[in-house]
Amino acid sequence: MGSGTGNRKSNDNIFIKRPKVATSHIGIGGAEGVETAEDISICIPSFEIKVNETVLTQPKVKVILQKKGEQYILQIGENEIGILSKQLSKIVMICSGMGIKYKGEIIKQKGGIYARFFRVPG
Amino acid sequence: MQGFLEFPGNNPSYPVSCEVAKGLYAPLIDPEETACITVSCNNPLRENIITCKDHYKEEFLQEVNGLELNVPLSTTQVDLPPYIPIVDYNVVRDGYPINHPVVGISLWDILSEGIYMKAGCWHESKEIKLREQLLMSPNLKGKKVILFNAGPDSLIESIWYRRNEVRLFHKLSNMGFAAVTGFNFSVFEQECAFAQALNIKRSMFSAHEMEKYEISIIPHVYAVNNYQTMRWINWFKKNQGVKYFTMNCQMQKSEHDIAQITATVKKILKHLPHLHVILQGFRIKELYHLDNFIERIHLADKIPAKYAQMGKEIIYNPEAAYMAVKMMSKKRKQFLFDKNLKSRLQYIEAIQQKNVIQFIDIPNSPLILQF
Repeated sequence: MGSGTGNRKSNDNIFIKRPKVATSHIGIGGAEGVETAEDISICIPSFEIKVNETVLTQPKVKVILQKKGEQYILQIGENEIGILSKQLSKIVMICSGMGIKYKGEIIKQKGGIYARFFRVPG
Repeated sequence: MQGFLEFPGNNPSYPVSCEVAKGLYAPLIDPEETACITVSCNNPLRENIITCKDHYKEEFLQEVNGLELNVPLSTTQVDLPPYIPIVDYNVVRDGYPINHPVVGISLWDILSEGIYMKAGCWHESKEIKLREQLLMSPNLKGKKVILFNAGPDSLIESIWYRRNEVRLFHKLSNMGFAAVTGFNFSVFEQECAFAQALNIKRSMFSAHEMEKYEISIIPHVYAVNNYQTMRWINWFKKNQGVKYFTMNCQMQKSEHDIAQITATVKKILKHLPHLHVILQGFRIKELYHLDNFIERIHLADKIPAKYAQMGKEIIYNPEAAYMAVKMMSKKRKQFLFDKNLKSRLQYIEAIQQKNVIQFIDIPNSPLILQF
C-alpha cells in the first residue's frame, strides 16, 4: 500500500500470517500456538446483513451483536433489528475467542438498508 | 531527531515503548527512528504490520535474511521513456490501441483471482490465479511491459505469503515482462520502527528473490526518515548496475507526505547521479518540487485509462501550456484513452523541455483544470 503519515484505509485490513518457509505451524502472533492460519482466516474482514428500514435503522447508527442461545441478535440499543445466521453466529463466536470482535453500523445501499460489520481487535 | 519534518505524537509513550528505542536493533535501526511513532506497537493479531512486540518476529527476519539491506541486485535491463501509462485489464481485454512503446500494469490487473471487495472491505480469495497469457494480447505485442507490484496490503501480503504455492516468480518470469518492481510493502512513519525497517527489507528481498528467476528488477523504495534514506543510498552505491528505482506515491496527498517524497527522491538522486526514478501516481502539479532533477524522473500513472473509462477527455493546449479535462465526453472509450495518453505525453514532454511555466486555471469553463 502506501507510506508517509496518512491513515491506513479502513477497508484494507489483513492479519499477516507467519512465513510458510520458517515453520510447519502456521500461526498468528500473540499467545504462542493458540491460533492457526486456518482458524484466523475464518474471521472474515467484514460482512453485512439486510435489515428492515425503520426509524432506528438510519445510516451510521451503531449496531451491536448480542448472543442469544446459539445465535447472535442484531440490536440498536435495546431494540432487536435482526438475527445472524447460524453460520455467521459460529464465526463471530469463534473469533471472539481469538480476541476479534465485530463492530457494526447501519449503511444505506442501492438494494436497501444493511447492518455492516467490520472485524476489530477485541 | 532526524525526521524530515515534525510530526506531533498523540501519545508520548509509544516511541519509548517501541523496542527499537532501547537500541536493540542499532545500528540497523537507529533509536531516533521511533520519534514519530503515534501508534502502539502492541499488535497481537499482526494487523497489516509485524511489530517489535511480535512473538514470531524472528521468523519474519529469518525469511528475509535479517534487517540489513545487504542483498545484491544486478543491472536493470531496460531503457524507459519519461512517461509510462499504466493500463488496466479492461484496456488490454477490450483491445484499446496503445500508441506507446512502454506500458505499465499493476499486480491487480494480472490476476483473475486474488482479492475481492465485499461488504466494504477487501477479502482474500481462496485461490490466486494469474492471467498468464495477458502479454500475448494483440495490443501489448511488441511493447515493453513493466509490472508494478503495488496494491492494497490485503493483496500484497496475501500474494507474498502464497508466492511459492502459486509458483508466482516462475510464472512472472514466463510472462515476459520487460521489468518487474519490488513489492510495495507499506511504511508509515507513525507506526513501529521495526515494522518500517522490516517492510523496507521485505520489499528489497522480494526484488532479490524475483531476480533469481531472471526477471529484470526495479527496486521499490520507501523511506520516511533520513536514516532510511541513507541506508538506501549506501545500498545503491554498492549496486551501481541498478539504473532505476520506483516509488508508489498514490496514497501520498498531504503536504507533509509530498515533502517527504521529494526530500527522499532529491537526496537519492543527488548522491547517485546515474540513477533515475519512476514515480507512480505522483501528481504532476507537484513536479516543480523536483525541478532540478526533471530529466531523471519518469512518471507512471493510470490517468489516461481511468479517465477514459469515466468518460473524461484530457485536452492539452501547447500554446497556453495547460492541460484540462472535459467531463462526460460522448466519445468512445478507446478514442478517449488514445487522446488522453497523447495529451499527457505532450504535457510531460513540455515539462521536461521546460516549456511549461505555470498551470492556468480556466474559470467558468466547461473544462476543469487537470491537477
